[in-house]
This record gives sequence, structure tokens and C-alpha cells, in this order.
Amino acid sequence: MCKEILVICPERPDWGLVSKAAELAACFQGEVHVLAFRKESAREAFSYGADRADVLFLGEDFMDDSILARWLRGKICGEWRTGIILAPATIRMRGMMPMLANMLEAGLTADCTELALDGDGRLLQTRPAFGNSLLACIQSIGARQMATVRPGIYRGRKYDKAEGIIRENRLEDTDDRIRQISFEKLSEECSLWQADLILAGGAGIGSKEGFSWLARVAERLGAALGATRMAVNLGYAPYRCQVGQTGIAVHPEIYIAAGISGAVQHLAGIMGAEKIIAVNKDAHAPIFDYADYGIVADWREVMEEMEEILTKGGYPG
Amino acid sequence: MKRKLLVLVKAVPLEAGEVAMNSDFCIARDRISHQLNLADMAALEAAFRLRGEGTVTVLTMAAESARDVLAELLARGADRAVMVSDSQMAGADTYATAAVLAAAIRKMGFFDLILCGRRTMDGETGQVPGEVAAALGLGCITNASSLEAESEHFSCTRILEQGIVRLAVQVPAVVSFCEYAYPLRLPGLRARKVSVGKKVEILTAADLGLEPCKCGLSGSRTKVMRVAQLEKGLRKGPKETNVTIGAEKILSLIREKGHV
Amino acid sequence: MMSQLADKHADKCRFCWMCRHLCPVQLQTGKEVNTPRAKALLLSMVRRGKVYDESMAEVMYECLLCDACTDNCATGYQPPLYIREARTEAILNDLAPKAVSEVLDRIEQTGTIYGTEKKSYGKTGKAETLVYLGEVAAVAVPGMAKALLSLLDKAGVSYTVLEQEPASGVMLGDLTGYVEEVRQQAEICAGAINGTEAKEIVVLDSYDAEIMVQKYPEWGIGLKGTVVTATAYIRRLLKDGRLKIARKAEGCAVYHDDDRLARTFQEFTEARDIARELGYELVEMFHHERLAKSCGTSLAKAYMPELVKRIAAGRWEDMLRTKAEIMLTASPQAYECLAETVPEGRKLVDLFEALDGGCV
Repeated sequence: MCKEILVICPERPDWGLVSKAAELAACFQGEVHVLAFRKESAREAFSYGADRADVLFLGEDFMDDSILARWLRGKICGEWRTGIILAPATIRMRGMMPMLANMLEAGLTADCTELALDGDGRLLQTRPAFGNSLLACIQSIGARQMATVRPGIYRGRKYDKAEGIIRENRLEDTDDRIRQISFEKLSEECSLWQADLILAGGAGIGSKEGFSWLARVAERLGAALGATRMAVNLGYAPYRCQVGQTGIAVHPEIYIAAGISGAVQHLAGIMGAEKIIAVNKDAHAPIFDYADYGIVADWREVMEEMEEILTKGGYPG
Repeated sequence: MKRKLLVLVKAVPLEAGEVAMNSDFCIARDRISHQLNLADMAALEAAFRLRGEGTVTVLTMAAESARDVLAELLARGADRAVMVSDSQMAGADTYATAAVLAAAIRKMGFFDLILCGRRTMDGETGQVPGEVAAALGLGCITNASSLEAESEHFSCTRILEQGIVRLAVQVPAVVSFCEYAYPLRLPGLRARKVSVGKKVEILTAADLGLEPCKCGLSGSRTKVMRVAQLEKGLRKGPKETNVTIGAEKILSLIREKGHV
Repeated sequence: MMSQLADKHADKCRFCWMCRHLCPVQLQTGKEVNTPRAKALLLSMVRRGKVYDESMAEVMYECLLCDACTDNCATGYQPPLYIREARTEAILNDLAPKAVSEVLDRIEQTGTIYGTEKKSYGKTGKAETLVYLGEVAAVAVPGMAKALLSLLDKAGVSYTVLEQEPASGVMLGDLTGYVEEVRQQAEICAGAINGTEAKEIVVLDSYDAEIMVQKYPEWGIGLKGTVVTATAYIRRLLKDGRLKIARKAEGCAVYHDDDRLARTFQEFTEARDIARELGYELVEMFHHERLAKSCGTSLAKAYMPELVKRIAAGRWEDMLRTKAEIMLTASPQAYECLAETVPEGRKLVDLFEALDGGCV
């Protein structure tokens, strides 16, 4: 059916997706073709199951992804034998892939949480919709099938294959109508999207002082600090901490919600968490329905208690 | 500066829970109440702020039942509201939706900026902005949190996972906004009085010169095979009221995962 | 043209009739048309083709927006949502009662529902604590405003008030519904508040506090400080020992929970604690705390004084069924409404004034 699965590997590659592609390709004797933007990534891709790799050098400040989409269309309609195109559902890829899909007149499924093949070797793409209330299984019609896949869904699997052919490419089209003026990098400690542990506060924190206090607890626990939109709006926490509405999905192992009542939009943003712990003094707060463990109490009392246990050094079993 | 601004909007179901589906997995849009998609509000307010002496047009593809939502945008201050509505367009995926919107935009003429929400609350794909941009041969910035006019270009802030990028944008371009990037003004008494007499304009597939095979389900490049209802992510874990026991439990859960 | 959300709420009614027993307007007038469910029915009829006329608009204004029906509705519907939108329609189509239009004119001309500009109290400038008095206290119940500020002085709190305190938007919002003009007023008010760089905003009128806490964030208007109700703030000063009661008050009293403290903030104990510490013996009226029956609002009094007089008298009837001789209130709006119909032998007492009298 299709010949090759192209996996696009942006700055931080999702190796799990490469391994998944290798598993799928094996079902139809296909190959995995990786497009990376750094040579090291292209090299590393082979150990996760890539058969061949291209690297495309983009400038540090390259931002006009329509140029990337046009370049890819040229390659895919030309020398490449691409049948399936996969990319991690990062913000940039979720912006670039639709442009490419339209240029290729191909079907594209957004933010998939599961990929499989049907009997004919066609891709079955599963994705949640309507605020996680529905799970839809979608197929593409036509020669090329495309999907963005929620990062971190699949685990990377190491293959023995250590190397392969890497081809290097450069962009010729440089008439970028969208240019980068500046880039304000977020410090790693508040980088929510890759945090395994998040401590987040809502309007219930009550003040900016309350939030600085919460930040200290977060630091002590080694957790990233999160905030609801309401808490950000009220000026308690900076915008970069906002969870749920910035387009940055979080998928930590543990999400602790302190003084968060649980607005629908916020809940949708944290559903990717493995475990949700809610602390709220209102026993009827909606967040409790969505939490794996709830504590009906004042958030500050609970945090103070946690600090005290940590200070005493006595870990509970 | 007489800018022509276009805002793509969508009327989404008022409550996710009440969404009913037809046998072909299309949402039965005629049977439900609608509201304006959250992220579109930010795009619309951004357009109002950039309007100056120019105009703001809102465009949607929707079933007839969404007309009220569009009419309300006239009351909020939009100069013109256009709705592409045709039964042939039901069940469109993002490719077919973009094809229809791009055809409508071409028919309406040039726009300096095409603004929209970063995603809809129902479909949640966030793909239409990019597909429309590509169909019109324009660049696209997704996930923007601000857009301001400078003398030579527009400056735009885009939120990415690793940080915040400031961009210089040459128009025309498509920009999609994060929810709440700009709080949308309410329908005003004065704006309502001005909007009296303005009607939502309706365009059909025939008006746009679109063949039926390019519209809706038959113009789509994806097909929904099946749909499963989820328990809305309900986890309903136990609730503790003792502060000490609760604090200990949190710490032990964190420790289980190898933290602290 | 109502929003689909408002239509939905209007259609949600299951006709269980429980709101009949809670609606303070209907309980006085006995008119079926004054119940929340009747208003929903009327609006349903409008959507099905009946002409929205002046008599219907009048019904939409015969409501205190006290939220008792919302708080106790079995189907979770919110009558104030569609009543506010119906008021917007009334104003747009020139159907609002004449008295309503007059209040609207007064707001436009002077910024207050009274047609007089707010008096200035206290010192202005930058401080950690800001006191937002609101127009009712500033114009109609100056005793309460002065007592609150005097208490802060006695506690040694360094505070500021706003120069020509802008309206919070609550009066206009209840009169015209939540339209852009209200949001703009709110923006001006928030700007003035933020300009003082206050960390705590002590709000005397709980109606002002509600719009600041609930609507401002929804409209994208941020307050840098934290909103605290005056009752909660004063209770804290007492608890911390910054205020000391030298002279106890006496007598048996009821405390009237105002609509917003009762339902939006669900704050019941603070005012009662203050009253008890002052030395009052407290008993309760039939409908209290979350179920508290409204005694009228200053806005409603401005355009339908006769009806509000009856509603306030209705609250006094509740009080007369107890053994109390004093009705306590900490709300300027409640004080203004109740003051007109004090029954013989009974007393209306402003809690802040009473406390101020007892503190050195």
C-alpha cells in the first residue's frame, strides 16, 4: 500500500513516534524515513528504528513554516516515496502540517492518541474530541495519510541498527514574510509541557503572596509551577505558568491542583496527566470529579503540613 | 489606515454533553444551541483593535441555526457578517472546510489580515487556519497572543512550548489566536443601535461556484470510522478531609514516581 | 434578540414552582407574573412570535436580581441571566418603564443612581489598603461609610479611598444588562483601583464586591489587589486584636444577610461573630444565610420605591416573628431599604456604626 512513513522530528524529537512508525512499517514491509532539523537528531533516529534520514538545516531564527511546507511538498511529490506523514503534535507542527496537507490535498488528523493499521494497511487514527467526551477513529482518503500525534504517547524503543544514510538539505526559498525579532526562552524549571510533576494553583490561592508561597513549595518538591487562567488574570501568577488555554498541553505523571475549582477549559488541558490530586476547601468543586485523589481542606494548611513532614525528614511509607 | 480585516469564526455547541450525532458521525447541528467559539473571541477583539478606519468582516461556514451567533457579532461591532450555509456542506472535514472558506474569501476580495481562533471547542483540530492559509497561498502564524500594527509590518507574539517568540509579519497573512488573548467586548447599546438593519449575508455553494463533490462529506479527505463515548474523564477518586493524612498521601504518591 | 444561552435557561424550567416560595417580589405582590418561571414563559412566547411590549418589559424590571431562585433551582437554571438580557432588549427598543429611563439618565449625568455626585471621604493616594465605599454608602448611607473608615483609623490601618470614586458598573449592569458600556465603566474603575497599588481592596457594598470578583475576570479586567468584604476585613481586625471593644451593646438581634454576601460569597459567620462580640444576643429569621430573603436593593428602590417599600416591610415581618428587637445589617443597600419601614418599637442598626460606637 504505502511505501514509506515519514516522521518529522523537530527540535526535541519524539523518539516514541519513530519507534511506533517502525512497528507500523514492519507490518507492510515499509520503511521509516526521518526528517530532522539537526544532524545529531538524524543520527540518533536510527537507533529508534529509522531506515533512512534527511536533515534540513534551518536558520536559528527560521519561523515561516509555510516555506517548510512548500519544501516538503516538493520532496514528497518528487523523489520521496512517502505514503504516511507523522509529526508530534507540538504547536509548530500543528501549524505546519495543515499547510502541507492542503498542498498535498491529503487528509490530516490532529493530536492522535493512538495509531494502528487496518487489514488493508491503511492508518487508523484515534483522537479525543469535544473536551475528551468522544473518541473518534479516523481514516484518510487518498494516496497520502497524515497525522499529528500527541507527544509522549509512545515509548522510544532502541533498535540495534545504529546508523544509516543521512542526506543533507538546505532551503533555497528564503523569502520569508514572517521573521523572528526575538525569542524569550522559558527557563527549564517552569517548562510545563515536559514536566513530570506540576503543582498548580487557581483563584483560590487568593493573592500574589500566596502564589509566591506556592512557588516555594513547588521548588522544594521539584515540581513545575502551574496556574489557571483565572489566577493569571487576577495577576497572581505570570502568564507562562498558565495551563489549559495557552495551547500548551501538559502531560505530567502527577498534577496537583491547589485551590482550583475546575473550569471545563482547565480540565481539558490537564486530562493528559497520569494522576490528578485536588486540594480544595469546597467539597463540591467540580475538580474532585476529575481527580484520582482529593483532599477537602484549605490548600495552605495541606502544603504547610507537607513542608513540615519534609522538614522532619520523615517520609510516610 | 483603512485595513480590511477578516475574522473566521465558528458557532460551536453550547454544551459538549448535549451533542447528538447522525448515523454518518456528523454532528446534528440543527438540533442544538450554539455559542461563539472561545478562541475566536480573542481574534475578533484583536481585529476590532486593529480596525482604525477600516472594516471587520466575520465569516463562517455553518448550518442555518448558527445565524443568531453571527448576528450577535454585528451587535458587538462587526461591520459585515457572512455565513456560507448549504446542506451540501454538512460533514466537512478541515480540508473541505478550508476549501469553502478560501472560495468565499476569494469571492469577497482582498483582506490585509485573516484572523481566527487557534482551535474550536468542538472539533479541537486547530487545522483550519493553516489549511486556509495554504489554500490562499499565505503564511500562517498559529497560537498568537498578541498582534499589533507597526509602521512597516505587524508585530506578533506567538507562544511556543520552549518560549515566547516575537515576529515581524508582512501582510496578507493568517493569524490564529489563543483563547483569552484579548477579552472580547460585549454587545454594546450604541453598537446595537448602529447594527440595526444590518443582516447576516448568506452564501451557498452555487454562489461560490463550488461543485457538490468539493463540499462537505464528499469533499473531505478524512472519514470518521467510528465514535466512542468517553466517561468525560471522570476519575472520582476518594476524598480525604484530614489534612495530615492528605499531606502524607500526596508525598507518598510523589515519592512513588521517584520525585522529592 | 437574546443569546442562545439565555434562551436555553429560559426553557430549562421544569415548573416545579419552588422559586415561588423564595422570590421576594412574588411573595409581596402575590402576582404569578412576578415569579421567575413566569418571566421564562414570557420570553419563550417572545421567541415564538409574541411581541415584546412595555408590559413585559415592566415585568422584567420587577425583579431584584437577588439570585435566591438561581441558588435554589432544581434544574440549575439562572433567571438573572435572561432577565438581564431582556432588560437590554427593553432599553434598546425603548420599552423600559419611564422610571427606569430616568435612573439611567441620572447615571449618565452624575455617575450615581441618585442624581448627585459622590461625596469624598478620607484620604486619597497610594496605600496598601484601599477602601471602596460604593455609591449607596457615599450618598445615601453616609453613617456606614464614616463608621467603617473610623474603625480603620482606630485600628491604625493606613488606607486610601479613591478620588471621585468611579462606579464599579454594578448599577448600570443590573439596569441595562451586561453591555459593553458596563464593561467600559468597570475598566475605568479597575484602572483607578490599580493606580493606588493597593494590595487589599476592602469593599463595603457586597454588590460592588460581586461584580469585581465575578465579572471583572470574565471580562478580562484584572485587579492587582485582593477583594475583601468589609465584614470579613473588620472581623479580622477584631480577631487580631487591632480593634478592641470597650463598651458592649445589648439586646436581642437578628442579622439580615444581604443577597450577595449570602449567595455569591456565602459569608455568614463574619458579621454574626462581630455582633456576638459586641454583646448582642442573636436569633435567626425564618429565611437566613443562603436562603436569605432580599429586603430590596437601592437600584430597585430608585425606580420602584413603592414596591421596594413593601418588600422591605416583608423582611420586617420576618423579624417580627422572632423575639428580637433589633435588626442588624452590614449592607448599605439593605440599610437604605429597611430604614423606611422600621416597625414601632423595633430598631435598625448599622453593624459598623454599632461597632464603631463600642470601640475606642
